[in-house]
Amino acid sequence: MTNRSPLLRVEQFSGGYVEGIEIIHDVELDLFGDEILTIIGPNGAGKSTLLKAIVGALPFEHGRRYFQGEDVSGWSTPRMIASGVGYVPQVDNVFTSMSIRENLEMGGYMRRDGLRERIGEVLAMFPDLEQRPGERASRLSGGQRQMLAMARALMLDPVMLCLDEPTAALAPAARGELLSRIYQIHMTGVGILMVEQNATEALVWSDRGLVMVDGEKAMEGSGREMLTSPEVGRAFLGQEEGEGFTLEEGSRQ
Amino acid sequence: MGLTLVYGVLGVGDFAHGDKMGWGMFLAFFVVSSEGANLGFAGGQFGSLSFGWGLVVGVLVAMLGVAALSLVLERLVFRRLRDAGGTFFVFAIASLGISIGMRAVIQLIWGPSNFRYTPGIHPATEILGGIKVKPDQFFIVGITILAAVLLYWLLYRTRFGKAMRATADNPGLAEASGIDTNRIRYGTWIVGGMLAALAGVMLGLQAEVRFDAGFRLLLPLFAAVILGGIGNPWGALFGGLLVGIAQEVSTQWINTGLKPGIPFVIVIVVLLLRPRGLFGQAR
Repeated sequence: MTNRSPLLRVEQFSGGYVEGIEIIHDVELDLFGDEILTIIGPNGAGKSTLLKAIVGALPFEHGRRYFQGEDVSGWSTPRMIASGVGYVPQVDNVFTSMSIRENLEMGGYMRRDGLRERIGEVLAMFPDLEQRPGERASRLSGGQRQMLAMARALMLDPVMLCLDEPTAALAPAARGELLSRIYQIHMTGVGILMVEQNATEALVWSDRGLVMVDGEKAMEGSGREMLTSPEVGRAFLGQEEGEGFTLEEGSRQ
Repeated sequence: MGLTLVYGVLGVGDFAHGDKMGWGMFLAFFVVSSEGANLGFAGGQFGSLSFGWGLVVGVLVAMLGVAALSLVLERLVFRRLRDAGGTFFVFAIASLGISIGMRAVIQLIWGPSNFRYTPGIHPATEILGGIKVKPDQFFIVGITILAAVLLYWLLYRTRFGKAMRATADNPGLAEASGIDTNRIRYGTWIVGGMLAALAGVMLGLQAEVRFDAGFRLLLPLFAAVILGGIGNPWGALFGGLLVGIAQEVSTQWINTGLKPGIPFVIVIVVLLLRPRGLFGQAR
């Protein structure tokens, strides 16, 4: 990495849901504004917990986190969101009884002005949603719901978007579409930090990957390094011994 | 509608709702009765209606008073229980206790007698098919429709109302979106309290002013709310109509003493067929 300053920096970071029971231990992490960083690892490794901690949604945390150079340790989620962090939880991430447009209005609840214009801009990024802004969120497909959840998080023009397993409940075709949409959002200048179970697909789109095991950072490297590393392949990408991953297989379409 | 709104947004099955109606009823009675007359509010009569400006002032006083009372109860009781991790059952029992206390205070002040807002006989006029309706009853129906329309406007057309719906739908996500859910809760108690007070005054106008009138409506009220799909104001309105009409019509065939059981027979049948109520939506 060059000597530019990171968008997000996490230092000697530990935390959990109950005081005294740590789920993540001593994690160090940097995210730069022009990156997609994907956190992978087995179930229960603390990936989602780390993401929650970063957006201020974890009851107990120790260590420091910095956002855009400012010490934001201990900041609450609303405060983080107001300062430019978008967060999409894995589940319950839309208001199901409300329309697409109303969901976006709620996403932009903290905006002082330009709500209507921003709804127009965000809808333009998601053609599926733009076609029927009055549709109730409960009637959307899994992929569309996930798009709406991201659209909602984009309402406050975040510079960083935190996505918790965005493709978890989706069919393979919808997964690819969603990941390419995330890449498009990234290209508008949004740093992306995501946690993924579908590691191979996500790493194809990522600049860097980070492996977590038992609440600790086990490995870190470029997306390409992760995909081609036999160790990572065996442990986390479901590859058999000797089976390598070729970049053609998973190239960005 | 107030009961279902409070349940929908706050997750509190408010057993004190009936006694909030009672308090609304008696606050308005205080304004129009002899104590109120000394303050100069009692007089007047609108056309063929049985009441005048006095009751209008009474309704406003009742709505403000019950809203304020609901706010105090949220701050002193429900917020603490919520912070302590209280469940639906804890809220329900707490509100039941509040209900008993509120009713006791009414009885202490006004005693167990029946009162009317305005004494005298108010004749009914005959409309289609020999059905007799009092002018006051037209007024009550009008006010109910107006309240429903205003509630719709609040919930679907205003920023605050949409935030109320968002909080009801998904409190965690609402909070993460920067919605001050504590403010929303206070707002919901205010609206719920005002609706309870309004309903109480209308009940006093239609029937009689009595310390336990609101409480005696509580169970049919819950029946109406459950029928309509809990947390759904339109369902509650429709459920209320269904329960009320079914109770009255049933006396054609069954003993009047069995009338209070009718709502629950309907509830059981409806819930067997549609577990989320008539208008409840799957999530």
